[in-house]
Amino acid sequence: MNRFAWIPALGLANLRSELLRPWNAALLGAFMAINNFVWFGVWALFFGLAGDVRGWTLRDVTEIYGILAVGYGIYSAFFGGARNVALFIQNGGLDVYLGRPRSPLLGVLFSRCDPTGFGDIASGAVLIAWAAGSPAEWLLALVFATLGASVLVSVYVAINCLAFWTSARPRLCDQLFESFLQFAMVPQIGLPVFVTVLLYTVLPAAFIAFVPVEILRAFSLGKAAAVVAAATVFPAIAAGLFRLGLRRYASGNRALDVR
Amino acid sequence: MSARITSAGAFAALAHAFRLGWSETWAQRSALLGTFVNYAVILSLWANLYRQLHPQSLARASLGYAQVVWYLALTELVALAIGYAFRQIQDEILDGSVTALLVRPVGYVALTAAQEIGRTAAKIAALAVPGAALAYWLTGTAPFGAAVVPAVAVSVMAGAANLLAMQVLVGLSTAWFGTARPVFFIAQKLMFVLGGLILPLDAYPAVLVKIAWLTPFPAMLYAPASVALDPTWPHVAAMLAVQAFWLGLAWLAVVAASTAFERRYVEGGLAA
Amino acid sequence: MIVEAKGLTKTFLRARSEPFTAVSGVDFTIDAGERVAFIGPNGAGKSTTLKMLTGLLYPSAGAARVAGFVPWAERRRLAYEIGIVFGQRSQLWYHLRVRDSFDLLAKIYGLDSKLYRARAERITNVLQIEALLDEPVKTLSLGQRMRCEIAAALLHGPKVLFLDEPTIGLDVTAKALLREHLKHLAEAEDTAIVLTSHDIGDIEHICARVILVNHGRILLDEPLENLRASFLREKRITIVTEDERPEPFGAAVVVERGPHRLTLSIDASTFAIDEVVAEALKRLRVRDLTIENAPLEEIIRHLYRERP
Repeated sequence: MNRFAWIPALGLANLRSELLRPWNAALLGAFMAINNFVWFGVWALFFGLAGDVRGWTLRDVTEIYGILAVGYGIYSAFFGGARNVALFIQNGGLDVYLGRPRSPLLGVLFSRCDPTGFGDIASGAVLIAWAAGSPAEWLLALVFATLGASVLVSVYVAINCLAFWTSARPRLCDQLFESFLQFAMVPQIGLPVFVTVLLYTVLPAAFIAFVPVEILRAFSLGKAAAVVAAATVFPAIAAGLFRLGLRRYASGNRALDVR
Repeated sequence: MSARITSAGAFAALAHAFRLGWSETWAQRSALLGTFVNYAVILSLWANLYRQLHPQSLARASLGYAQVVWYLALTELVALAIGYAFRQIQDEILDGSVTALLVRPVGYVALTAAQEIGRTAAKIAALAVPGAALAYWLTGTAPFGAAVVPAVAVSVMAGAANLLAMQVLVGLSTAWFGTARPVFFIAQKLMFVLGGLILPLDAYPAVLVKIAWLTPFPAMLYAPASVALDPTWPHVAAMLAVQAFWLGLAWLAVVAASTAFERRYVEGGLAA
Repeated sequence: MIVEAKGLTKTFLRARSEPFTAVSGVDFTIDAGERVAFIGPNGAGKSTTLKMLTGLLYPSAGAARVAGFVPWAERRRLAYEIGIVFGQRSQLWYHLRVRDSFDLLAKIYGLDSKLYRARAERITNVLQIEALLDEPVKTLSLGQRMRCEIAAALLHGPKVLFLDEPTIGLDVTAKALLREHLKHLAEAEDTAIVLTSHDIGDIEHICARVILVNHGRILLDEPLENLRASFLREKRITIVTEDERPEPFGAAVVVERGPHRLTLSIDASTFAIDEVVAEALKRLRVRDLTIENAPLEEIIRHLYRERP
């Protein structure tokens, strides 16, 4: 048997679980899409008043939002279990995945599929199509969104890994991730230098949508390489943190014994 | 003779639920910290955007940088203090634990709402001062004096109560749709737009303003924030009156929905 | 030897409190095909020991080998040789059919499809779950789900099956069924069983050997027959009567006496139960009568007095 056959099998099983209730999935997807279009209305109102922000227009910000939506949709539809990491650390749920002969991190990532993700992907693609100047730009934006999803999932996993060493609860991890998403959602212009440095390093929000849209406005090989690098380096960092954290998990020593 | 709860007893139970919500929120310091981090990030990022607008843009709507930042500080305070209150109701309906909660002498929705009000009051109390400090640090000024603070506080609580009523209705919709999330998405985003989360309604096109005032959303966000920006008594009185009107209507709707919910749950067989 | 533990010790460090030794110097071996019960009160160290043997926890001291592997150092390779069933955690995919969960596990374990199908058919026959294969896991009763969990844990042909409280929450009939199946399965597949349970019925019906653990130490490691002979002969008879203050009778030891209720302890090797019941029916106005084994806690307390 193909030794990697279990990965698509596990991912598909996760998807099938949700799509067994097609009406529920369709409802959630459709309403999430509407949700995103209404939020576009907020941006439209803002730019209706503002005109532009240092040359950034409604189209640019819509493209940022569209790329983020697609990336976030890929996370929640296919790797939705990222938000479960802290929960499983605290309630011992990792044990099930550790008892299998495969990557426990991938097992956890595939443990949840949120059908709203499909709504995010569809509405994000529509928003990008409205904002993009050409089909080629639209396609490239979708590629960037996929790379951005990799960074998103990595950051979510890394935040959740706090639970290995601290008493950080799942709710706090969700809140920190929501804050991170705020950085990814607004154009990162005119920020203090130290914040900008953070957004290109420890909190890689810049690589999710802002830098890709900069590339789409004016192509830069260096920036494109940086986005690709981020999409490979940050998953490696997250996986490394998880592996390190597993050693602590397997020590049984915890800041807070909630099991 | 079977024991029956008196009005005083029911009120005491609701007051206890309020205190429970209040104290459990203060006990969860990490969640409060997370909420503040979220609040600070949103406010700072948007303030940064506003700072870079052409000065004429805001002036067109008779607004200044400090005003929009303080405005956002107050609308976000209300929005974040309520958070995802609908989830408790949704989860209790979905996992069936509401079944046991429905057979108590004090109504399930009333008790849940009282507990949520306690949680909200605690979050507002925890976020208000650091939030004001942050807004002051970002703008270097405060658009209202100490005399207006009580009116702002009352209006913020009224806005939160209106928003909470909406969240209770959203949570109860689980009994009809199997999940509250779709309704929540739409309600929340409509609130953001028609309630003026990011921009005061004064900056909106006229037709949208008319539509907004036909809905309860301005009573949730715009009203408390605008009280701080325009603390003249006619405006304050008008906003409080609007909030009181929608509050009455909203909680009547909650009572009606609660009755319909119990009927659907028990007679509709959802309790099985 | 399929399981070997030597001086296994686990001390937990806790923030803001003293270190806590959950397991201390545990030594034992288990042969292939053996069926062993780990018993002990809550907090005795059973689950901690099990977790060290399955690679979920690493010890503070000591050594262990399971199917030739050091569990905490070779966890992934060990996973192919062991099966784990958690009473309170499911390994199946909740919304999918049981069959889909099995197929997925076959891919996760990289099983050859022909061998997997043959094995799955054999196991589902023994556990009598053929009719459940096309049902979504979420629709199964707890007893049905547990049988499917056990099947899932055996699909890859493990040499050792670890079961952590497998009958918890099951009704009497479901428990009986599960015990029968487990025993037959272990014999059919020649799989060693290591079982933790609070239920003495699990031990009596499934296992041939008992390891009693408390305060992290092994107090007892004996064949079940010996335990039965020494300790399980005690029976408790609880009688609910019309009489407000039922009077004890005969040589039975009174365990509890309350309004309309009397609980007696009988040494079943000395007294015939039916004679005691007959005497109760003669002397008292009996409304209800229950005969049970002495509670596990009593046996363990008895063992403490003998082996502190």
